[in-house]
Amino acid sequence: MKISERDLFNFVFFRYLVEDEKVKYLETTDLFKEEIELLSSFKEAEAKELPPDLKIKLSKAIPYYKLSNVVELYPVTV
Amino acid sequence: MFDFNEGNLNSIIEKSIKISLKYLSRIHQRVYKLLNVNEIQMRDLAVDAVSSLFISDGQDSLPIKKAFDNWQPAITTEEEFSFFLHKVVTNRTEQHISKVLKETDPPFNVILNSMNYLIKKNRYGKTKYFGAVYIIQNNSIRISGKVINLDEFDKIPAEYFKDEKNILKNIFTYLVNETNYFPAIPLNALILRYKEIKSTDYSFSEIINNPAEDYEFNDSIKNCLREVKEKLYNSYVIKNKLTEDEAGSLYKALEDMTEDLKDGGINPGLYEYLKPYFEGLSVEDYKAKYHNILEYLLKVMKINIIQEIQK
Repeated sequence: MKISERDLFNFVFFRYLVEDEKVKYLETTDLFKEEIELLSSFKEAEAKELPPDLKIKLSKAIPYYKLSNVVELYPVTV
Repeated sequence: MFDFNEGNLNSIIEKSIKISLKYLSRIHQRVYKLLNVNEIQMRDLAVDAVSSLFISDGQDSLPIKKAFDNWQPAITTEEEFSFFLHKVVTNRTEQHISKVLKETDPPFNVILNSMNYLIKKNRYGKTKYFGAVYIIQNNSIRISGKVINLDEFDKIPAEYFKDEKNILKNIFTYLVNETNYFPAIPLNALILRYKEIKSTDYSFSEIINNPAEDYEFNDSIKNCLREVKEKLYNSYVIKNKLTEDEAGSLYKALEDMTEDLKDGGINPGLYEYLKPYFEGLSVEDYKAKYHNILEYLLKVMKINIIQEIQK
C-alpha cells in the first residue's frame, strides 16, 4: 500500500482525513513507527507552553514576536 | 489561522519553534554525532532556524508568507496549513543543520559537493521527506513507502560505497534488490557514512604498510596549521594585539580543532576549546578578547583545508 508523508501526518493530526483502508493498515503495522512517533511528539509539544526564557530569546531574534505574560525577575541583594 | 497578521504571528512562531526543537531533539541529537550540542545550544539552533522564516529582507514579505503563497496546491484549510507549517519548519531546520555541518566540517562540504555533482550527472533527483533530503531515482518520483532508517543505512555493506563513481547506483541497487525499503537515499547519512568508510580506509592503509593517503591527509592539515600559526604571530603577536602566551593557547585550541575535524567535526562552542589552555577564563572575557580572533583563524584554516583536500 502506498503511504505518503501527508497520509502519515494526517493519521496523527487529522485522522478523519485518511482513507479507512489506510487507517486500518497504519493501526496494525509497525513499519512507520518512527515517523508516527516523531509526528506524535510534534503534537504533544504543541500542547505545551514555551518556557519564559525561550520566549525572551525568540522576542530578541524575531521583532514580530511579542512577549506576553513574561515577567523577568532580577536578583535583589538585601 | 493562516492569516499572517500580528495577532496570529505569535502563535505561528511559537508553533514553529516547538516543531523545530522537537525535530532537532528527536532526529539530530541521536543521529549526527557532529552536533554534540547541549540543550541551550539546541535552542539557539532552533531559534536561528525558525527566525529566518519570520524576518523580512528589506521590503519583501516574510519568507514564510512567500512559501505560503507559492505552496501548491494553494492552502485553503486549517489542516492544510498545519501540514504546510510542519513541512516548512522541518525543512528549514534541516537546511540550518546542513549549514552548520558545512561550516564545522570542511570534508562534509567537499563530499556534499561531489554527491551533488553525481546526482546531476546521473540525472537523479532530490526530495525532502520529514525534513531530510533524500536522493531519488528521478525528480518525478514521490516517496510513497517506508524509507531506510539511519540504523539500517549504517548496516549497508561498505563495498557498496567504495566505487565512488557508481556509489549512488550501487546503493539504489542494494535498496531495490536486498531490502523492501522505498528506493531513496538519505543524503546527509550517505555523506557521513562515506566519510566514515574513507577514514577507516586511511587507518587500514596504515596497517597494510601503505600509508600514502593517510600521510597526505595529515600532511595537508599540518600545512594548514603552519600557515595559521604564521598568521597568528604576524597579525597579532608582532602587532602587540596578543601576548606570546595568549597566541600559544589559541594555537593549541586550533590544534585540538583539527583533531576533531579529522574525527568528524568541530563543536560549535569554540570557548570549550580554549578553556583548557586559559586557567579561569570566563565566557565574558573569552567573548571580549578572543572569540573574534579564534573564529577568524578557524575560518582561514577551514578554507585552507578545503583547498588542500581539493588539490
